[in-house]
Amino acid sequence: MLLSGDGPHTEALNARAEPILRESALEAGSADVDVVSGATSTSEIWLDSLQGAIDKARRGR
Amino acid sequence: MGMPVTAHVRDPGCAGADLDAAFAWLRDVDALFSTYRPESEISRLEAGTLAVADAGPLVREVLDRCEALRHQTGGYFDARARGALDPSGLVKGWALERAAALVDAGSLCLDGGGDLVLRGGPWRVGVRHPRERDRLCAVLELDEGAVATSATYERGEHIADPHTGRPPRGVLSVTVTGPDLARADAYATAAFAMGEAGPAWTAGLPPGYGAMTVLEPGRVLSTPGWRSI
Repeated sequence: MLLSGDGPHTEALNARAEPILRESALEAGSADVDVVSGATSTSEIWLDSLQGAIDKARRGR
Repeated sequence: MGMPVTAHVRDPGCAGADLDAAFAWLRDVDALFSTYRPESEISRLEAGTLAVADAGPLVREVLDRCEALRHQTGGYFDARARGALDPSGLVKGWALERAAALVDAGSLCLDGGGDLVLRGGPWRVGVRHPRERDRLCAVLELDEGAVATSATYERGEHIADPHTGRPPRGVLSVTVTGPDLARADAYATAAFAMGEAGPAWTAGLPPGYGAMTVLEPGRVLSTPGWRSI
């Protein structure tokens, strides 16, 4: 079931939804990945981004 | 849409013509949906020189899906979140799903500005750390499906809560996985717009979808459907 945006109905559902979420601390790692998901949105930014670096490295292989 | 699209293909038998067709489709989509081109159907709808009933079937399909997602997200995904009609938040994922269907390759990843359609993995997918641009905060291994991330760490990506018009508080990034990129992207946008209330909402996503939210100052909340390694 999807929760609606606001109102008492949502609060009741949220109270049940919260305990099933897993909580962890934010980590900053590096790993060998094929692709990166992120909110990059323009080609200028992309060229300078992590995915841009991966793609450049691939072309150089 | 002003977005770089990269195709990763791991299949020596894949025909280049398929990729050409996929990119030609994306250019056609841009011509129909661009908010920057005055002659696009979306610009003409906004200008009032085209009626919805007279728009093409692709535009009507997208507008119908935007409306369904607006209801499904309690108004937090809204093609009019910034006033003017802008269905880009759905168009990107929808167009990439269809582009992937045009490519006959055993193993394919289409990457549209960090939102991904995956086929024939395993694909190792990193999730960008919301504060350190060259680091990852999670790694997924997926055979197929979609991954979408909403965040405000890049210029040009401004997500506002459609109910207040203001940027949400307390949230750094939301990543959603699932079978369809259009929906995953819309869910990520909606959950981000909800701010600190987003994680609880993501716990109710449909079967097959999972979400990881990073809240200030560094709390990571993930749903049972989220499978990072």
